[in-house]
Amino acid sequence: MQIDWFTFGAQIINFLILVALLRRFLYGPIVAAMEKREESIAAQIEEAERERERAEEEAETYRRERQNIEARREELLAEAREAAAQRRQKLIDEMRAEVETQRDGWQAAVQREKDAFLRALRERVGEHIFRVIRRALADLADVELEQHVVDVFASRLRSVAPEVIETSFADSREMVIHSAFELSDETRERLADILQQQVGNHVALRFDVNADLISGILLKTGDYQLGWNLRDYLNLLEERVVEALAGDMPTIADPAGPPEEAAQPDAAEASAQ
Amino acid sequence: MQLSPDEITVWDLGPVTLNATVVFSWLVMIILVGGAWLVTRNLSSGPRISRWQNLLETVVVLTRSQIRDITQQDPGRYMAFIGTLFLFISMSNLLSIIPGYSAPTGSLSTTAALAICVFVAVPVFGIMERGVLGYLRNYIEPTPLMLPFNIISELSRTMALAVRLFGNIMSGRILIAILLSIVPLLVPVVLEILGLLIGQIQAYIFAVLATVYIASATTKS
Repeated sequence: MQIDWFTFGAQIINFLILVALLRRFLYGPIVAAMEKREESIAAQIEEAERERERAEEEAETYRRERQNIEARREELLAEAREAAAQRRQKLIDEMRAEVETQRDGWQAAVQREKDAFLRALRERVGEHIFRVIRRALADLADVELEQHVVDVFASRLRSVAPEVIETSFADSREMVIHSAFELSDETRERLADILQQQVGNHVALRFDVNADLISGILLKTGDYQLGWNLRDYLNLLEERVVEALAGDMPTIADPAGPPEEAAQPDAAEASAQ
Repeated sequence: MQLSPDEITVWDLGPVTLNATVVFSWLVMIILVGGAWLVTRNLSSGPRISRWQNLLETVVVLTRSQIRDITQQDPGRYMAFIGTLFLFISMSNLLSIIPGYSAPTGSLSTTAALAICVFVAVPVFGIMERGVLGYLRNYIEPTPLMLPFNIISELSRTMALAVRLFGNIMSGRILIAILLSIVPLLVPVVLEILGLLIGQIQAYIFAVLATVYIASATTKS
C-alpha cells in the first residue's frame, strides 16, 4: 500500500494526454456541432418569425383590401339605388306629363267636337227653321220670304230714331248692306231711297252678299249696325242648346258662352228692337 | 491477493516495470478516445442525430450544466479538464465488471496522480482568471491569519481526494474478494452492482469537488 512513483508519473502523463485527446475528439466536435445546430435552429426560428411577420403583413394588406372592396361595393350599391330611384321618378314624371298631355289633347278634342257639333246643330237648326218659316210664310201668304225680310228691314230703317241718324249716319261716308241673298235692283233702289230720306243727303251705298247672316239683312255704317236676320234667333236657340248640353256635360261647359254672342253684343241689342 | 493493480507486473523492462495500472489506464483511454473518435467522425448538426452522438451530447451538456451551476461561469475553459476527470474515473470503475480487469482507480498512484493534477489545476485556473496577485489574495482572506489554515486545507483536500477515491474502489474490490471466499454465489453479484454504483458516485464526487475547488479559486470572494 504505497505509491509507485513511476506509475504516479505515468498516470499524470496519461491523464494529461487523455485530456488533450478528449478535447480534440470529444468536447470540441460535440460542442461545435451543438452550437452549429443551435445557430441553425435560431436561424430557423428567426426565419419563421420573419415569415410570420410577413404573413401577418400580407393578411393585414388583404384585410384592408377587402374592406376597401366592401366599401366600394356599398358605394356602388348606394349609387345604383340612387340612380334607380331617380330613373323611376323620371319615368313617373314622364308618364304623368304624357297623361297630362293626352288628357289635354282629349279635352281639346272633346271641346272641338262640341264646337263642331254646336256649329253643325246651329246650321241645321237655322236651315230647318228657315225652311219651316219659309214654307209656313209661303203657305200662309204666298209671298217670298226674302221680300218679307226686306220689308221688315225697310220698316226698321224708316223707324230709326233721328238722334241715332245724326250721331251715326251723318258723318259716315260709306254704308254697306249685307244680305244673305242677292237683292233685286228694285229692292236695292227702294232701300237706297229710304236711306236717302232718312239721312237727307246722298250716301255711298254698297251691297254685299254674306251667307253667314242666314236669310237676313244688315246695314253697317261705322260702328252702327241695323238689321234683321235669323242669326240672332239662332244665337238665342244656341244659348238654350248649350245650356241644355252643359247640364249633361258640366266639364266641358264653357262659361264664356258661344263666341259669336260675345263678339257682337251691339247686333244683339240692335236686333232686339 | 493484491491490494493494488500496481503490484501486477505486465511487462518487465529492467528499470521500468509496466504494471497493470498503466496498461488498464491505456485501455480506458483507448476506449474513450476511440469511441469519441468513431462517433464524432461524422457528426450531424441537423435535427436528426445518431444515438451515439445523442449519448455524447447528453454527457457534454450535463457536464457543462453542472460546471455552470457550480462555478457560475462559462464552462468552456474547465470543460476538458473536469469532463475528462469524470469520464476517466467513471469508465475505469465501469469496466470493473469485466473479469480480470482491475480498475486503475484502485491504485493510490493513479488517484494521487489525479489529485495532484487537480492540485496544480486549481492555481493555474485561478491565475488565468484573476492574475497571480488576485489568486494569492485568496489565501489571506478573509484575514491573513487564515493563511496557514488555507495552505493546510489545500494540501489536505488534495490528499483526501486521492484517498477517498482509492479507498472506495479498493475496499469494494477487497470486499468482493473476501465475500467470494465465504459466499461464492449471489451475494457478490449484489455487491458488484453496489460497487458499480459506488464507482459512478465516486467519479461524480471527484469531478464535483475538483469543480468546487476551481470555482473557489476563480471566483472573487
